[in-house]
Amino acid sequence: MEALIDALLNGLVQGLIYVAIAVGLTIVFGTLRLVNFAHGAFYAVGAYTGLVVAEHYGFVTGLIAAPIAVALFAIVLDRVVLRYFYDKTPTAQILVTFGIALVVEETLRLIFGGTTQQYPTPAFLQGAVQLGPIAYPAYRLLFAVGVLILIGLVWLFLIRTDYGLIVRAGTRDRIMVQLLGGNIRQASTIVFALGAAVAGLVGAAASPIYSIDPGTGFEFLVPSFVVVVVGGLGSFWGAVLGGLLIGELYSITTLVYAPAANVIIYVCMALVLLFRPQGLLGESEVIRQS
Amino acid sequence: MTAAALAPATRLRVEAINTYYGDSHILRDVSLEIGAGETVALLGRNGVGKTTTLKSIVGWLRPRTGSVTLDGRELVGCDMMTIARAGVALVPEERRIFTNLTVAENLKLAQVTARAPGWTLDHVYEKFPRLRERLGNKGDEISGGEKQMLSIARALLQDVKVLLLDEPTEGLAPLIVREVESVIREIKAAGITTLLVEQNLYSALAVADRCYIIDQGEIKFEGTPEQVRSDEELRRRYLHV
Repeated sequence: MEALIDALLNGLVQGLIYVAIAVGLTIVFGTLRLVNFAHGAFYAVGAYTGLVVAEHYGFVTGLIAAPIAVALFAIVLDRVVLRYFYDKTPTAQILVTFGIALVVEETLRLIFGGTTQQYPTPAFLQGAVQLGPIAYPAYRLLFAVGVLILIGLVWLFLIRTDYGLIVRAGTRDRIMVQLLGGNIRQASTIVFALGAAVAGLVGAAASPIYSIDPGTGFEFLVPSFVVVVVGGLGSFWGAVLGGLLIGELYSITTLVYAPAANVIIYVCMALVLLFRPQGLLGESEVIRQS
Repeated sequence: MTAAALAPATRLRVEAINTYYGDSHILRDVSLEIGAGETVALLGRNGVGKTTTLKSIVGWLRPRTGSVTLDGRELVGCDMMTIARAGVALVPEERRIFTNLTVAENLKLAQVTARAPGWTLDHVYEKFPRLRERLGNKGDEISGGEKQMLSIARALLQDVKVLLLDEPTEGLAPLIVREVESVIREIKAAGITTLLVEQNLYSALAVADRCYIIDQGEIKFEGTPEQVRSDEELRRRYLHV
């Protein structure tokens, strides 16, 4: 029983990381129709930024610096490279964003080396919380609560702000937004930076839980794409549901039969594609663009 | 007083535009003019270039040659957002309501994206009372007529210099068609410059000050509604199915 509760909580933590990455992916796809394989790089850059800043100025400063640095990186990336690929084919988008991800990975390897690194849990967040029969690390619980709050804030941004309104409209009909005078590019850049910042912040915050190396971005990116497909392309709550589902599925399978854990999430994706191709919360026709 | 002095100042001028879909030459030297406050109808059968003309004006399609000016300002080469903010509003044929947003959010979006405000929400609700009752409904939960009202209301919430209406009565029940026609008459009475693309010939002729007829991507006729009404050969050649 203790092992099951532990697995469920671990699945929640891992699933929330997927959610944080997948939310950015799905909004960017919904608004810009951009298949962004570089999104995992934002997680890795955030993790390394947090690591470096935390070593000199403390953990909390690292948590502040990581999303800011990653958001700026994302804006530069968007303005200099990605915007020229918004209207290109998915193949071209995948190739260029995959290329960017590789450049980021190799750059991180050049700077930090290929070894695995992990930031120690800050002293003030160490310890465990008794949850019924098990003692669970306090930092992991705090991390889960923090990510849930973060996702809530992103949702509030989408439903309460003018930019959020433009973005939500843009996920359905980008052309009509422009015909109404809406600056979809500007709104999309903000959303792109926001999604990157969320991934960067979660990358920094998760570094005491999961060790990082230059390939960390890809490790989380691929399951996050599975999450987006399972939840439904372009669906915010689909990403949340898909992330939690995949996280739990992975964790429980690890408990039951660890070698199958990496396979089960793809089996889940295949089943969803077979019986509900639009994803659990996706719509059959996501968008009309012409 | 001369005729030129009586004519309204040209608000929108389309001059010899040529627009293509890939290699297909759709619009061939299309020219038309709309004076400030005028309601002009662009008539023609299905697939002759009416919607393409509107798309070329709003920047949805870019003419390869020719010019589109609004109060003398060149629009060809500008993107859709810039043209919309210059004051050209399109009410598209398919309505293109944001079905994931409520009616209230659809209206708010038009206010948020407007360069300058046009009608107030109170004015919109006065003219389209059914929208007020549907504020909380999603865009896919309202009828075709309500979608058309919402689409027009969305445009009028902005400071519109030229309103482009693409087949506003298409697919609507006769009763709703009469409501939409009434709204178009009110728009005309409000002095809003309008280019009306309409298959419903008699509906268009009833409100238009002038007409153009387009066929196979070329303007074939320019004149008054009375001329169209009285020229059976013209109607038979270019308008009857």
